[in-house]
Amino acid sequence: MILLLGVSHRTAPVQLRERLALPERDVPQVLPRLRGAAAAREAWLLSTCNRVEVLLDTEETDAAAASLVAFFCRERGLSPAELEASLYRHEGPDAVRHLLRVASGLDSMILGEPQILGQVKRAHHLAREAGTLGPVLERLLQRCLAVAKRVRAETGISRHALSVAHAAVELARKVVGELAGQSVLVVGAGKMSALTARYLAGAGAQLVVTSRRYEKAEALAARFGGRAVAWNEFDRWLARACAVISGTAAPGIVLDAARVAAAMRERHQRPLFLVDVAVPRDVDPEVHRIENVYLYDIDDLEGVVARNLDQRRLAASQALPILEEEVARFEHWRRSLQVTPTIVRLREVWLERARAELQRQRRRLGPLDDAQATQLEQLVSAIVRKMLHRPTEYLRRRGEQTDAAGLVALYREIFELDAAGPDAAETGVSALPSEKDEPR
Amino acid sequence: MDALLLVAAVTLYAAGVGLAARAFARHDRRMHRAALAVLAGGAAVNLAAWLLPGVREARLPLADLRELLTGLAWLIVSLHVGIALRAGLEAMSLIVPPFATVLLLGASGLSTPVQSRPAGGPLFVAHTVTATAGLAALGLAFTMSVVYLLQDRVLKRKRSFGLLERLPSLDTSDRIGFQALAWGFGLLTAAIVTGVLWNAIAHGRLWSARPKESFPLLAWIVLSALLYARLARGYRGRRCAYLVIVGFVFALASVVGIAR
Repeated sequence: MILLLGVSHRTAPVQLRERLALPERDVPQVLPRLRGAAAAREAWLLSTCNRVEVLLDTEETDAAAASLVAFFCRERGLSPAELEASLYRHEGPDAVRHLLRVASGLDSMILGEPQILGQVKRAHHLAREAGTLGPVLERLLQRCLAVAKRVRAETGISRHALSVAHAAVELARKVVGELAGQSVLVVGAGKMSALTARYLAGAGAQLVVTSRRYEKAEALAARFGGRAVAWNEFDRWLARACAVISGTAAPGIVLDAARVAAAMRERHQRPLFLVDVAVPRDVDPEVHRIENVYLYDIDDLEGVVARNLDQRRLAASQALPILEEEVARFEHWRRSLQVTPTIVRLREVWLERARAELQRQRRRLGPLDDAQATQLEQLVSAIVRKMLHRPTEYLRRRGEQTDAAGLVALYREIFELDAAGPDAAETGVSALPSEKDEPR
Repeated sequence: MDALLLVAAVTLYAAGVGLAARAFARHDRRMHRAALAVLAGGAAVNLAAWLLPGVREARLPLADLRELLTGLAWLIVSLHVGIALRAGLEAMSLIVPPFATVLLLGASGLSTPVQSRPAGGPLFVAHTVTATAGLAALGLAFTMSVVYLLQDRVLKRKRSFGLLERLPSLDTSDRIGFQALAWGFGLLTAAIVTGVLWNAIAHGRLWSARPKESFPLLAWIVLSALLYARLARGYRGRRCAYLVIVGFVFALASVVGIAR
């Protein structure tokens, strides 16, 4: 049974999360001890600033959960009550669903943020390094990464900008296309200008920074590899840049409609995207009325962000069927694991018994040459296989559909699988259905 | 047989657009390429539908409006597939091929018998080929102008982009539209010159006031004014987009004039 225990930004304050969080370098040492403490077959751990989660494959979920709590309390000096108050626990399909939600960014503080996928991938590598993954969690994590990518591609959940600065850059792209290599004029060197400049520089734009105080412009330009220009060059760059971001601390309008209209004439009406991130505003709102000029102030951008959040919520709801499909597929695969060892054993034991019976009867059959002996052995094996075909198929089918523990016990009793000699082959991991056998 | 081919082409175009819509909704690039493949298949059938009657009767397949629209639809879809394969532009697959499909549907609705026309020789061939190609290029410029205006409207009203989100940016639609316009204008000019010469040879007059002769001239005047403003003065933006639309409508009106 898969067991997931964790704390996240939804359940635990940062004071608790930071005490539980593990630095990456410690994970390979901690994981084997943690697996041992919980007496689990497989273990995986995710530790980010927003969540610490442990995933186990274990027989005894209650005992494993208790041991895990004790382990963390001991290691991190916490009281069980303190930890348990913030701890969530998921088992079986719920644990799978939760993990898929986490990896797809649906459980993140910023809905749909893509960093979590990289963190899950990294945690996967660390657990592999530590050797605490087995076939079940290995497969689960691989599916998890694939599903998270699919969610992102199909719902576009990460596409809609959720910060004012990011939204401004996305809108600029709608006007001027790719920003790489294009000049963007940044007016003022305040905090909001700097934040927007960072996104613009990230998109490859050439920043041209101007400020009433040249040294401030120089400092901001130096941070993002742009160039600083004197305040009196403002109009020249207004006519040349593809977009303008204005965020000065001026108490009134810095850029009026007449100046923008003049710049538009000089630009031969080439579209101009203006972002006013200043409060009080730098750019006269009348500027937006000028043809081919698009002015967005901080309220407009916040409106865009609010709409984008709605878009992400919509995308999250579109992701749910994708997750459910994967939960069902994984459960299907995992259930088939319960019956596979029995199926393998059933065939081996009865083939062995048939061969033994054949050996006993050989004397009565009189002298046989090698070819006849081989043929007889093949015949007996074929009969056994044919007889076992229906019961095997039935068990496999039921195993995929429901919890088949009772049926497995019944089979073992009817077919005397446990009474068979000690020479009957051990079954285990090697008997797990491979990717190719996976029911689709 | 010809009607069947047209129906098959329309069906393939519709399937391609449907697949493109699905690819668009699911952000699936590979599916979009599959949609382009289906559209290319449709274009192949469209080409056959266009050329076969002409081949059978050993004449140029531009004898009537039906053939012209069929050829135009083929050109538009082929151009679109060619551009989209290189530039992506998933959203355009929801705009350009449906436009061509409408043209093709219009063509299949027409059953004008081929009229016997005076043989024009190479001049007539040059005229019809340049006119058709020019119209296709102007059709693309028209589409890009519509895309431009739609986005201008959303940006000005500060509304949500919704499905328009993945249309090419103002700058890209302007750039592609201008290239298409430049080609379209050049071909239109060639079509007018060859048309006038052919007229002179076949009918002994240079020009008449019939729609099919006056509309191209109107289109040419509008587009040349636009190109002058753009090339000499660098003008662009919303008004240019409106002028492209007007120019294309005039050019299209001349095609409708052919039936008369």
